[in-house]
Amino acid sequence: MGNSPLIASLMAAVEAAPDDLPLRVHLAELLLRDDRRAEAIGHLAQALARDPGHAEAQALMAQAIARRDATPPSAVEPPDATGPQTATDTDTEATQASQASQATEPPPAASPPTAGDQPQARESGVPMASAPEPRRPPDDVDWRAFEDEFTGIVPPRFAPAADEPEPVSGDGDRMFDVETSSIFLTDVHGMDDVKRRLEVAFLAPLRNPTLRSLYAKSLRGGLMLYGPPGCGKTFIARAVAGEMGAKFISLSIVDVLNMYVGNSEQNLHQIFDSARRNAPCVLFLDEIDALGHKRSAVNSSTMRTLGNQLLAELDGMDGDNDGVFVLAATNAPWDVDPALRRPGRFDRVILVLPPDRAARGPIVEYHLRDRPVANIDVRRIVAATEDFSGADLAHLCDSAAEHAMHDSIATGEVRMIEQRDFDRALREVRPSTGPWLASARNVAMFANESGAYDDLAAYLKKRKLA
Amino acid sequence: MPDVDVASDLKRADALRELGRAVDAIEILGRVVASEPANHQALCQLAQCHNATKDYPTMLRAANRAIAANPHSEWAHRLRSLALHNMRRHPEAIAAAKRSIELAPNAWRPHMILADAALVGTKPSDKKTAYEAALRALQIAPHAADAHVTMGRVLLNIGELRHARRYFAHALALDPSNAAALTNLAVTDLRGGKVVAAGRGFGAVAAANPTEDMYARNVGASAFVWMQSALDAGVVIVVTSLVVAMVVPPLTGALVTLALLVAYVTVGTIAYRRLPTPMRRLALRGRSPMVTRVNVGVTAGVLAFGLWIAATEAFGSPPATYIAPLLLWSLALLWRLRIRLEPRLHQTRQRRRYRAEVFGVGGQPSIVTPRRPLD
Repeated sequence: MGNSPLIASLMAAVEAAPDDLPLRVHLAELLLRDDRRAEAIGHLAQALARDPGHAEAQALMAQAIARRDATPPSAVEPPDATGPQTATDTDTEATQASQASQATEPPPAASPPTAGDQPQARESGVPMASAPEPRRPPDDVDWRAFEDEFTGIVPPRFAPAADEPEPVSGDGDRMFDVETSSIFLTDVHGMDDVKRRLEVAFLAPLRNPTLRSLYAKSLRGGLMLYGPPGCGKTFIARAVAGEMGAKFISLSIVDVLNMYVGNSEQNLHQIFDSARRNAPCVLFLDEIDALGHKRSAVNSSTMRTLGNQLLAELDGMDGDNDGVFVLAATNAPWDVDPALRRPGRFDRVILVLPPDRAARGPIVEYHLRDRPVANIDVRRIVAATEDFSGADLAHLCDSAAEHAMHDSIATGEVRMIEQRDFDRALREVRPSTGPWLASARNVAMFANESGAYDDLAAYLKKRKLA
Repeated sequence: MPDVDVASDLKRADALRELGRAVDAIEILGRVVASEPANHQALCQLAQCHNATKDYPTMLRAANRAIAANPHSEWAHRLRSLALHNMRRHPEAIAAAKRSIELAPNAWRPHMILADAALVGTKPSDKKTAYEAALRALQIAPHAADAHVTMGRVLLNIGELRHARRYFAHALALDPSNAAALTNLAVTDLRGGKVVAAGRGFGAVAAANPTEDMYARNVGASAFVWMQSALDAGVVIVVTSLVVAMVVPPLTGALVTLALLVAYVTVGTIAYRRLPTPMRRLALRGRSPMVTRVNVGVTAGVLAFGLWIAATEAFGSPPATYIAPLLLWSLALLWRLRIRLEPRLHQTRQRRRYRAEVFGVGGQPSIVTPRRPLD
């Protein structure tokens, strides 16, 4: 304690000039020498909050933490689980920000950090400041004071209102699933053009890393699938994930809005973060027209902010998107904000049409695979189901099965599903793609000045719908 | 009864409605209303959603329930007025709008709703009510593009095209993508005889809102008007050729007729090629096959008849040959002139009828300049 008068004087000086980093670091150094580690860590944390790259402060912080780690673990439990993490992981601004955010959360059930927390921290890319072993903090440290101090230094990025529920954080309590897709493009019948374009845009660069580096082709980027509802856009996205051996996260506007209105942009950020941690990962944004609606057509600040957040995430402003493949699907690409269609975002657009003649047969057979059928003329069904989407074909098979079952119940004699059931079903089931194709006609007529819908216009012309 | 986080659900429903997912929003609001049947905000939002789905009877029911939950709600009365207006129950719509104004005299939307409801009436006093309500809305909210559009619509309805155009321009200055302003500006152009400009305007709106069939129909309508103008020009050429055939020597008459036909085809082709792409497609094909057949048939008839005149002229037919066709084609021309002039005459009559009542003798529409919200 020999430096106490000097330290007191320096403390007063730091209080008068809180942004004077050399002074603060010097004070921390003296505190450390005086074995007042906790106070030193506090000042170093403040210095690093102002200048995360301050080498001397970093070195002193490491020294201070190492000394603290050297102290034998105390048998006393920490006041709450967030405490130890805020004091140890102060290497980067990001860490501080996230911890400051944690400090605003209500304390979870009191338990020390467990070994299970460590891989999560490593996975999130946060550098570990010291030993990887679980640590117990000394009982002589006023953690609450540190938390209060941190909260004051680095405000949380998103400030929830007092009555709002806490946002989703981490992987433990997330409301979305990171899946491993077991579907492959070979499971997608027909759609040869779509498959070819997916191969060129995504799959070939992934499979050929040498050529990829030769051509300086990045693994980032987005692709938008559009077409009538029920035509397999989600299925294709899963198949792409399966082909890549990548993780698959699916997200729709309802998911984002359901995760507490007011925190939607934060939730979106966390979903992208999760995709980055799980890279290579296919992040599938269903109904992108809602998530990234034309901002000119949106009045509410919530949706505008959400749109801006989506743009920022796609640009990788909050993290590196390498290895994150963003696929989007929409029935209404004309409602998507033009900013999302710019290069580097969803610059590649693929039209997913109702299954063609070659694809419809296998789809019908697939839906009948576990059903008792006899003498079904698949070719006849295929010929009668022009414009049927995959979902319509499934519905057709369901209807035919329903007729056969009803007949079995009525007669008391169980029978197979026959062609006559399909004939009845075909009289009842109509393609659901009609309204979409009617809208598409207007799109091809009025909104194709830029040629963005040339493939759609060509399809409509071929079908004599334009 | 499940615990419903009402505030979050209402926000979520509002966001979904704004994204054009009124059906999803109705589902959420239905849950809220089931949980809290007297939640006035939920009922108003429900009415808004039914308005978006164009289900006006259900919208009216929701608005009535909202009024029952909160009789002093300007919003609920306004929604009721809108539902009644869309159900063509105009006197009731006007009454509801006036009640809304009583409850919130300094809000601009009730005045706008009243203007819309009153505009349907044909009496000069109705137009005056509409104009005054639109003016009041504008005075309260000069920053609101919709208020400028409403005033523009009122002025367009009473034949003040020049002033209407000005208000639509104001609205577009405030909100460049305002579909109502763009559409009404194009309607103003169409009424002013600027068919191509109108088609371009309608095309821009249709491009931005391709799923709204009304905008596509508007482009079709402007293309149809353009095609009718082209055919009318053909009729004029036929009548001119017949007159020339009767008054000049045969060979000269034949040459003049041929020259007129060539000029017609050349100018027509150039004008056609200068049309905006969607209008060009629709001018030839129309949105119905019948229109296409009529247009192509009349054009072919005009050209064939012109060639017949030139041919018979060249063979020196006597002038009396052309008297009967001239009479018939002149009747056709008069019929077409009547069709073309009637709307303009009607417009002038309307303007004369309403002007004195609405603006006072010798009066002019007031001009409220737009103001940015942050001014």
